[in-house]
Amino acid sequence: MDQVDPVDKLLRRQIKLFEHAHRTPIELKGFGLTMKREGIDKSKLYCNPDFLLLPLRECPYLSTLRPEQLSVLTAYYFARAYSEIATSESVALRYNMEASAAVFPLYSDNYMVLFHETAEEFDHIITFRNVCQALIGRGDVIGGEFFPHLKAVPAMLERYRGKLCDNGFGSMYLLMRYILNLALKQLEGFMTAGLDEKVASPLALQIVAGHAEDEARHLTTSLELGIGLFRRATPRSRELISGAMRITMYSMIDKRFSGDAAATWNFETGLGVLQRALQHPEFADFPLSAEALRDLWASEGIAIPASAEFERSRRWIAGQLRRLAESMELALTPQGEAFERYLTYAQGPA
Amino acid sequence: MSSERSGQEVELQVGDAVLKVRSGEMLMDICEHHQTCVMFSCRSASCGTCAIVVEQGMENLSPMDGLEAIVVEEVSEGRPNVRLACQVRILGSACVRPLP
Ligand code: FES
Repeated sequence: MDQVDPVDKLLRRQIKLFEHAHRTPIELKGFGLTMKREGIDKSKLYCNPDFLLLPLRECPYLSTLRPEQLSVLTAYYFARAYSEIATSESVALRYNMEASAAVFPLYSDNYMVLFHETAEEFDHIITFRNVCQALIGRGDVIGGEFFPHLKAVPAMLERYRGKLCDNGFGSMYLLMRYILNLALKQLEGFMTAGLDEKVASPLALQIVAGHAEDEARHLTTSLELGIGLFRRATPRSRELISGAMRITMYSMIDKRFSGDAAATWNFETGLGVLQRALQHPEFADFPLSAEALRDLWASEGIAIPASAEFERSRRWIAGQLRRLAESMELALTPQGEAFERYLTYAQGPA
Repeated sequence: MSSERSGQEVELQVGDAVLKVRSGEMLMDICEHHQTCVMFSCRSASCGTCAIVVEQGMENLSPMDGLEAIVVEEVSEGRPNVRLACQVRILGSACVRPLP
C-alpha cells in the first residue's frame, strides 16, 4: 500500500536537486563575456594538448610547436568542443518543453525541472557563442550545419513522433539526450584533466567547472527520468525505443572504441581542429597542411597516441553505456573489434 | 581540509582492495586510478552512482556539504554512514564499500 513508485522516487530527488540549483545558480555568461574581451591568452592552454589525439611529440613538425602555437591549438579545440556542446543544447531547447508538457501537468514541479534546464541551456549557448567569438573570431559556428551528426537526434525523434505514447516520446527524447550528454561529457569531463593549473587558462577552467556542474544534473535527469518514463511506456513504445537506442549505441561504440586511435571520432575531431588552427596567423610559418601531416604520419608509421585522459574517458563512457543497457534491459550483441574493446572497458576491474 | 595531514601516506580499503594513498586526495580519483569497484557518473553530487558505505574512519573523511547531503538522504534510504565518493577527500585511514 505504501509502496513508493520508483519513478516518483526519482522525481523527488530531481526536484530537490532542482531546488538546490535555484538557491545556488551558476551563471556562465559573465565568464564568456570576459573571454570575449580578452581573446586568446597565448601564454595559457585551454585544454590538455594530449587530449587532442595528435602526435604532438612523435611528429617532427608538431614536436617543434612554439608555446603560443600550442595555446592557439588548444583554444581552437576548446571552441570546437563548446560549439558542438551548444549545438546539442539547441536540440534540447526544442524538445525539453515538449516532452515535459506531454508527460507532466503544466507548471507542476516535474514540468518545471525540464523548464529550468531549458533556461540553463540558453545561458550556456550565449556563453559558448562568446567563447567561439573570443577564440576563433566567429560566434556563428553553432548549429546543425556545422555538426551534421547531431541532426540525427531530432531526425530520429521526428521519425517516431505519433508512433510512441506520450511517456514513450518523453523517454525517447531523454534517453537520446543522455547519449548526447555522454558524448559531451567525454569531451568536457576529460579535456582539462591532467592539465597543470599554472599553465591553464583560469577562465577556461571556470567555464568547464561551471558547465560541468549544470550538465551533471542534466545527465542524471536524462537517465533517470528517461528510464522511469520508459518503464511507464506501452510495450510497443518500449520496443521501438529499444530498437532506436540499440542502433545509437552501436554507432557510438563503433566510433569511439577502435583499437586504432586514428580511426576514432576523437582523432577526427583533433585533426579538424588542427586544420582550422593552421589558418591562424600564429601558424603563418608552418610548412604543411593538416592533410599533408596525416599522410606523413601514415607513411612514416607515426602512430596516434591514445593519451591517458582519452583512455580514462573511454573507460568512463563504456561504464555509462553499460549502465544504460542494463537499466533498459537491452541486450547488445557483439559487433566486431570496437565492440569487444568496449566490453573490456565496460566490464572494468574483475 | 586539514592541511597538516595532507600528503601523508594512509591506508584505504575500497571493497576488497587495500591501497596506500596520499591524504588529501579525492576518493573518486583514487577509485578511478586504481579501477576499483566504485562506479561513478556525474562526479558532481547529482546522480548517487558513487554512493559508498563508510565502514571505518568516517572521522577521516572531509565533511559533507549541502548538495551531497540531499543526494545521500535520497539514496541511503535511512542506512547510516553513506557518502558520495566523488565528494569525499581522504584525510586519514578508512574502509569503504559501494552501497549495496
Ligand atoms: S558520481 Fe554522481 S554523485 Fe558521485
